Amino acid sequence: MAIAPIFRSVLRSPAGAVLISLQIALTLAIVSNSIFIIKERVDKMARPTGMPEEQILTARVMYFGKNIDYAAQARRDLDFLLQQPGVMNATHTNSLPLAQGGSTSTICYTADSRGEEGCPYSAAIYNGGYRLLDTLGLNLLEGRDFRVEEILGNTFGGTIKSQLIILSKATADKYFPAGDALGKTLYVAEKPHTIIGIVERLQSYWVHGSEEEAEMAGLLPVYNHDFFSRLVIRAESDAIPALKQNLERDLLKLNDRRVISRIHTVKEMRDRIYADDQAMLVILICVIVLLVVITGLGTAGLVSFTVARRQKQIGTRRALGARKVDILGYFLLENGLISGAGAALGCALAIALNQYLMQSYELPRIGLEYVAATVVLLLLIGQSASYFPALRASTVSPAVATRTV
Amino acid sequence: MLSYYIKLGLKRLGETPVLTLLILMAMALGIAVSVTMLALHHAMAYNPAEEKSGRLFAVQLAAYGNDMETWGEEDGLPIQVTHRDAMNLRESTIPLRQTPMFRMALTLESHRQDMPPSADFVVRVADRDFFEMFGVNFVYGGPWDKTIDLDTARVAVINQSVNEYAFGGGNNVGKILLMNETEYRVVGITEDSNPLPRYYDLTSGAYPITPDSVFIPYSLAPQLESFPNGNISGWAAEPVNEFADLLQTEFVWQVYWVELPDAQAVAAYRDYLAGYVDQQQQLGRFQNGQARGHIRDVQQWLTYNRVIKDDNRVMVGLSFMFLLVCLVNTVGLLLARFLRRMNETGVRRALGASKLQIFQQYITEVSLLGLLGGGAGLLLSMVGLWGIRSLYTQYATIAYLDATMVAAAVAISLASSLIAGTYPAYRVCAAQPSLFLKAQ
Amino acid sequence: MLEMQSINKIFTTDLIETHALRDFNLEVEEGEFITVTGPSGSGKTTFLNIAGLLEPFSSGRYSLDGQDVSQMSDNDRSRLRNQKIGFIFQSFNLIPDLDLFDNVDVPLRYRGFPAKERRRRIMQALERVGLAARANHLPAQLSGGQQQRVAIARALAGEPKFLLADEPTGNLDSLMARQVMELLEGINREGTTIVMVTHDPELALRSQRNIQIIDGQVSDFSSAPAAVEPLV
Repeated sequence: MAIAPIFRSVLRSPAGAVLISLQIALTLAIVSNSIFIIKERVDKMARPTGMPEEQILTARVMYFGKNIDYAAQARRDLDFLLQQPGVMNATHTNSLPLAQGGSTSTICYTADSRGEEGCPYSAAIYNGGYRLLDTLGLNLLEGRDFRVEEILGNTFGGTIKSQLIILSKATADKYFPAGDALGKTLYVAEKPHTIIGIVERLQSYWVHGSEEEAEMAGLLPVYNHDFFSRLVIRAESDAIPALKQNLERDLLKLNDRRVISRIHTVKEMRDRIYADDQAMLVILICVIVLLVVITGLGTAGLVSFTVARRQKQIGTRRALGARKVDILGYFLLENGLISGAGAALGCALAIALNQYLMQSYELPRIGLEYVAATVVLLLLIGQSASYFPALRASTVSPAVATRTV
Repeated sequence: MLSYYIKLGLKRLGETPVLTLLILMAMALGIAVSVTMLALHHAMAYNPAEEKSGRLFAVQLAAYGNDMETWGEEDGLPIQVTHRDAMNLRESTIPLRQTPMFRMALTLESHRQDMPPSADFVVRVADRDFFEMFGVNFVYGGPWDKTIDLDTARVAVINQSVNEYAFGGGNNVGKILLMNETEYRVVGITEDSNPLPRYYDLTSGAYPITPDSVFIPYSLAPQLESFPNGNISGWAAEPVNEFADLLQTEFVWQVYWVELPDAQAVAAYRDYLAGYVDQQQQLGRFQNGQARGHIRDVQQWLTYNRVIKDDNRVMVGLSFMFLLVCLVNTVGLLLARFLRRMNETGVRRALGASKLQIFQQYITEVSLLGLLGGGAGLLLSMVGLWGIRSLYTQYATIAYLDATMVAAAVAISLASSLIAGTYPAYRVCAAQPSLFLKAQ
Repeated sequence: MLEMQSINKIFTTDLIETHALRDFNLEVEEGEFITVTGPSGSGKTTFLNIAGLLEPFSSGRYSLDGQDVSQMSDNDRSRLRNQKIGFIFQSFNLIPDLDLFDNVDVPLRYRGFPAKERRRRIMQALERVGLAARANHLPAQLSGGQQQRVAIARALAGEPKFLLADEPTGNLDSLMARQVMELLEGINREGTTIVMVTHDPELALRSQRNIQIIDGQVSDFSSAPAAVEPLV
């Protein structure tokens, strides 16, 4: 079918066509950027912690009794927990991935390093005993875990007396891009720390930064004995529900001068820390669905109107020998041309919107595949929205042409 | 004539019900989505200090050394102060009222049989002026005596929730509250209030879910044993083994507020801060490129701390683009709706209606559609806000429509309908009437 | 009553100029009943549209009831149309979703009469055409002849001095056509000037004067049309 006559016919009364293409263009800009943001968030939420997540259970322990020997009580708790069915290991720590709160230290090359050059990065520091690496289920790539005798007592911030550190591979590679970090020395809190181990992956407790920042973390051999600590238990995943249910009761039996709360699985921690991202996701999906529905229905409404207005013209075409399929094709092609023009404008708008978002909200550059996918989506919606009105047009009787008035 | 146009407009609502429904739906959805996002933004941007906003100032000090270029926020100022500086600032007599503050997590025990110990109540440590500065209303008793800010005593002000939890409600002034096995005498009981954003302490998130429930005197700080529950930041490594050590460090972990009633007091306090920074530099502190003190009033403080997240800004922007799409959609549908009536319009023109009268008739009809769509949009935005409340627990108490937002919704719907209706109405009234009189 | 001097109407579309009226001259006296005939496309409707102030003309001079309309604003032309001109169309052009009362009401609304005066005039006009009892019916509930009578009532309600009819009987059978014609003749006898475009030679014969438009010009002033095309 010739495109030129359709084109001329559209140009003769361009208002409807302009409105449809403008709508397609704006929808394209919004939807493609929304899909892109959704993809960003989904990727962010899928970032691994480095832990075997189904095996981890954590709880907050807060003592309020006076004269409690925290260290002794901690040992009693762990002795008890390690006897429970399915429990593989357990320990206390100041924080763990997804915990939202914790301690961050700047790590330097030398004791008197300053600024970006000497102290280029910060990392989440997890303090814990010799069980921490195993309890978190981290995959040790090089070197070794801390030994019992290397574990130091309680220090706030945990960085004062320790001399050893285990780093995530991402952190080690940042400081030693050649990959020879093991055995090297870095300065944490102005004190030299020898890298004795490198784990494959260890996520920071703070996940809302860049992917690189989220991978910056290390372990120090400092055992927290304080009125506050975080208990981490690693157990067979099918033992977790029972453990979770009984944990508060069992631990209070051992000592009731404390509050055991925030007993969470990793899934619950994920839900909590990513709640805003999840909400953004839901809202963007709603916006996309509503936009697509409105654009679809609006297109269908305008095509219906065009068909109704051109009854006589359609009848004449039919009387002059056009088949039903020709009429159907005519209207689908017309819509395709109009949507196509809108899509072309929309691509430019989508990229402009992305540029703005990049400048104002530090969003990355949009992948063209998102724009392309949205173009396909909107063209399909345009075609399906015009299909039924076009089908009705094709059933217009040729007799309409001969009727006067 | 307006009544005639309204009568005609109302009569035509039922005409072409599918088209009318599409128009109303597009308008309603556009308005609902934009009003929902705007209402959330409006609630987040609320300034709970209201008329006191310009009198209350957060104090910032560039209290770091080692000749560091910059530390803290982008302007080289941390948002918190050290305990030493807080203690020094308290000496000034310029502010009408002032208080340092920090948060603790202490465990409360109830006098009631069935209540287990709870670590879920937020304990705020502050001076007596806190209550007046931040508009806390008392139900029983009142704040502790001013002398306690200096001499200290184990007293506490609690809110109704804690009163209920610990005592089962009623006037319990004078009774003993147990926190971390330490006795505090209750001197006052306040209403439950949870101002959001939590403008006076934004360090643990601007929209915390749990309200401040227990208040104890700042003068007790040296006697406290457990660490504060908030942000502690330091620019140098310092050994801290217990809470008492923290008080001596250069770590920043307290927020400091002053009330300055007039411009004179503001100027005097600025001078005082400059003098204080000089004095501390003499003592070897504040050795940095930014050394200075700074005050910001509540509104400036909220903006400075970026209480409105990027996500929310993006959503407001997207929601108005969404409205724009709905408007373009509506323009098309209105055009279709009006062009169907070209014959009638031609008749009216032939019978003596001027272009302006035709335009007015259609604009009236569009406004009616806009009001209906806006009404539906307002109802839908309530659904939208319900969705927001269930998605974001932190906004659960604030994401509602207030009078301002209802007015905004009406204004948006009228403005949108006028914007959407102008072109179609113009097209119809500008057309040559004779063209549409021949054909039926 | 109506005076057209050297009226030209040129349509310009797709680079082709069409002269719908060329050097068109016509004078109509007050109280006349004139029929206008001519082949399709000769410019009858254009003439009627210009006479009724529905279309602008390209050049020439046109005065209606002593007023020069050439330089009038849309507002003034609308007012003139509203107060002095009544329209009757071949396809009736009643507004389908308004009842008879509201249809007749339309020109009165734009005239700005108070409600009571409008009601009086509407009922009077409907009575004149014998349809007062059906004031609350919708046009679709009426026969073609009745609908045209409503249209006449609508045209009469404003008491115009000048009635323009575009083939008012074209869509009616002969019986109804005669009734409508008699109604118009009655109106004319009461003093209203009527210009009626028609294809029907019989009707043309009944009028006081017939003019024929061919190729956009008045070709013949004879009262008896020589050649008319057959009825469609």
